[in-house]
Amino acid sequence: MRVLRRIFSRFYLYVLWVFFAVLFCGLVFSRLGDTDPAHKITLYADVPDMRDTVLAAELEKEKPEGIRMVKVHPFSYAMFDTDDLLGADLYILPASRVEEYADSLRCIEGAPFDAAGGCLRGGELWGVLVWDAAKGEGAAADFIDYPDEDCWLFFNKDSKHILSLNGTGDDAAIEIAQRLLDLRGEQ
Amino acid sequence: MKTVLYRAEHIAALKRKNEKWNVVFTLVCAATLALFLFFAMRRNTLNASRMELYATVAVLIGGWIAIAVWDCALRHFRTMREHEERILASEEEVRELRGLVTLDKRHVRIPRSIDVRGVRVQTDDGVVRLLINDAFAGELEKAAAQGELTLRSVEGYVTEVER
Repeated sequence: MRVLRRIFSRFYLYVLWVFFAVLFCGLVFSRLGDTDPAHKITLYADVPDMRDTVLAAELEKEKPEGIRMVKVHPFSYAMFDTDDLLGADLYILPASRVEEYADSLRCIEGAPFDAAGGCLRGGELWGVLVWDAAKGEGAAADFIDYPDEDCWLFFNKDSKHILSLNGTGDDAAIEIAQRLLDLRGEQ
Repeated sequence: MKTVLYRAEHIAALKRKNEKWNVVFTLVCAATLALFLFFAMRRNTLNASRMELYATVAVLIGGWIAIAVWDCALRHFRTMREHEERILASEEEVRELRGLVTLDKRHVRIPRSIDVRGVRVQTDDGVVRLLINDAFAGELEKAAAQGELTLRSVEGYVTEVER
């Protein structure tokens, strides 16, 4: 009885502890689950649904040198943090959304990708085909629910991981893009 | 029959209880921290949200137990001990009363001190109100059921009961 009486008289402490536990663990785990952009590759996909953590784990199996983690998110993840979206290295965009993000993308002419079915702008290759809607097959289709239109993989023009394209950093984003393209699948 | 409520042996027993609960408190905190670190170290890309959930539940429950131990045991025994030491060391004159005794049902917590209950003593000269440490209220209640009592008090607290 005495114990129950004491617990109820200090009930606010137990409620405050709930907030503390959730905030503390959330903060620590968000720090553990992230790292400096120089050591991670971020891929955003504008698709209806995806198994983002499973795909990230798959891409992390063979990390390029200097890369600690691969982050994969749907566009909806960046609802309240557009900086993270604009700072990503790779994007998967459906044909209808390419122009909307054109300012953040860059030409990948000269990079080791198959130009067949790619997204061309001004006669140059900008995006690699990752989803062929007509055939119903594409890259990482086991992990990504693509929309009913072709989707391409693009590179952020400011990425620090496309040495072959913009001469800065390393080629980790290109290596991860190749790993993604190797994960073929059908829907 | 005389019952002395405030005794040096009781204070020594409170000290021992405090030491025992201190160990329990330390163990609970250490176990919570160890569980949190365990889940944090097991975290990977695939199980991140599950490990965060486990760690949050561990910190939440461990914290609740620690708060309960701190408040209901550590703090309780410490304030009891401090109160009893103060009453035993008090130089105030002992007051003696005889009459019919009734105890208030309500428990009152004195801020930063013990829980007490009000004591009403019906003497020949009128009603006198005293306080009793909640831990001793049971003994007084039993004795009061058998008729008139002689109470001795220091600083308004009942310290001895005599039938």
